[in-house]
Amino acid sequence: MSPSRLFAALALVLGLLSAGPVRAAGSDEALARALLDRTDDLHRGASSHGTLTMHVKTDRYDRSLTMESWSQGEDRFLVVIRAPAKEAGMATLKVGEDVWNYLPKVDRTMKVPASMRSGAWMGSHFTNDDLVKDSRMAEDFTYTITSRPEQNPGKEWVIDCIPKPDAAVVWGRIVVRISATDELPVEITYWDEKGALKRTMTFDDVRAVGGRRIPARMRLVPADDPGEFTEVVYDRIEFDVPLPESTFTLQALKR
Amino acid sequence: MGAPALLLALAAARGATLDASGHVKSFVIAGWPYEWAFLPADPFTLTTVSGRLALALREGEWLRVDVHPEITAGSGAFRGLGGIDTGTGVEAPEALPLTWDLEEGADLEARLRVDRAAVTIVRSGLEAAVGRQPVSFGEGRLFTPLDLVAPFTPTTLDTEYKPGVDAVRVDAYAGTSTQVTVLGAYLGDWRLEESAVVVDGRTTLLGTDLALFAGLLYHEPVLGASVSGAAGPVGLYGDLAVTLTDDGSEVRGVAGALWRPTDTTTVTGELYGQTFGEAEAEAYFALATDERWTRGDLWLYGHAYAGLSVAQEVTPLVGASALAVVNVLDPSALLGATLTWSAAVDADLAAGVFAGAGKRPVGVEPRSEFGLVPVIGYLQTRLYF
Repeated sequence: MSPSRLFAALALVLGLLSAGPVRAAGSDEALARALLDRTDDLHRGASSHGTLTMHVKTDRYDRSLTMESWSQGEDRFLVVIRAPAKEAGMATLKVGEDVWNYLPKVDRTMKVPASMRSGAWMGSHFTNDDLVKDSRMAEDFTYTITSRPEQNPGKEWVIDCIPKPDAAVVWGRIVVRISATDELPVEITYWDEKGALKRTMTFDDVRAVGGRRIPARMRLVPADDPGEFTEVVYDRIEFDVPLPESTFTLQALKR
Repeated sequence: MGAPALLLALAAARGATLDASGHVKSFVIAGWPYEWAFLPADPFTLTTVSGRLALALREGEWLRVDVHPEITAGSGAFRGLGGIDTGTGVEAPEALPLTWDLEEGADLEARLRVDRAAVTIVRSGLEAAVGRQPVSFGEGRLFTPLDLVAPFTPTTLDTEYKPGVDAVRVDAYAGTSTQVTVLGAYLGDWRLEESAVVVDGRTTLLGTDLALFAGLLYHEPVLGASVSGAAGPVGLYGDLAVTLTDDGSEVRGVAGALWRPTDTTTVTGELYGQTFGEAEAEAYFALATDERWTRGDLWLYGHAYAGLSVAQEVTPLVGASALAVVNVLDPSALLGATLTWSAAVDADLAAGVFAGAGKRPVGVEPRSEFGLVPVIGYLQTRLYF
């Protein structure tokens, strides 16, 4: 598994874990926008430092990977693989548009061109678009609240998102369910342009982590094989931690 | 071995952390020789088993001690015939003798080598490392003109660990990606005639990594530069090295491109040229005993080459790759293919084949570079802990 792909997966995960609460919004459109922004901005915290485990289960294999991560703002990430032993120590740094990998066993720091950051994340159910694209639901989709908390047993906001004609997204439709209780996402379903469900991302295990209540576990299940999944669990995370500038440098890659 | 015990004692005494990991690898290499005086008359096999214990002691963020004892045992040579090298149990010049031959029989050789033995002190913006450590320079993947200290070649079967070099190294960092490395490496002696003194600086400008290299290797000045960037969907990189010899200057350079045409396919292409070497295949034989080739900083005998590597993820657990390195003037080619299966979280299996295509030698005289290479197949297992 290449560090760049791991980085991309982590970027998605970090993105789901660190937002502030939605403020009271006036119109339905403003409310939907605020809820979608909050879901998108869960990963845009000022900074974070944590360890997480990714668990991929398919019909043929069952793998786990442990990583330590640091993030600052939207475009500074450092990821170091801690386990398994085969890949431990490999690291990826992203600062703005620049990405580097470090391979400690050969002492090599390699620039990763943008074209090499794409591609499916090996062994997982994440796609490139999930992991690399910097799209925002409120910007790239038109959205409508289709069910309000008082209209469904789960007491959730249900927001239907249809991509704008010029948006560079691969989905024909996204449906986001957000709990009215804590304003955290409960489920996101992804549909293709023909209206077929392709996969479901669920969020659960809401607990206080790093001083916030967040869904500590996210599970992505492909629609064509409900027995498979990719699950991401935060073992530990701190938000808004002071990180020195040197955290996001080539020197830090060798941590 | 006292080093692991010493590390454990240090860790316990100072409350530091000690990480222990490692691997056991085995190789079975089979060769199908053609008729040549320097090859066995019949098909042959070589078996090598290698175990590495990787110990890393860390005291906060400021101190790291790495010690990697590695035991390699095999039937026959650790380095296979036809230029094939397992990449394990590699010998390198040692300032501190940390290699012990445990068995030197005709049927079995066994060696213990401490392949990492380095103390690294880290301060904000500075890092100093003393001892046996990996050293890499340059951007080339198949051809590595700037990787002048213990380089890999495309016929190294296992490139997971760069052989450790006895060196003193200081890295200074500024900003996100500016790094200056000063290195003194032992290549046989600490005198300039048999050592390396290198200054390498790199930074990023407009999304492109640039590096300048200046060094004295075996008392010869070497100047170099590297670049790594992208043009649209293609990653581009290159290295240039100029060696100032007593007879003038010699140039080596590589230009490479990295492209991912599909989500699961990676293509690497490189063009390489060197003024070292010979234009006529008949002259290669004399180079084989030249010190530049025997010590390993040069491994190609001609002037102009092209390389192509295609890696394909067949399934998430199975990868296939194909390699072609072509001497375009001979002409001849080294062809290779590898299939890797990630059998478990910490276990891999690999099988591959290398073959030379080109005119076979006549008598002892080569008629093409890669025409010298017989058909070599191998099986490898890798178990990690």
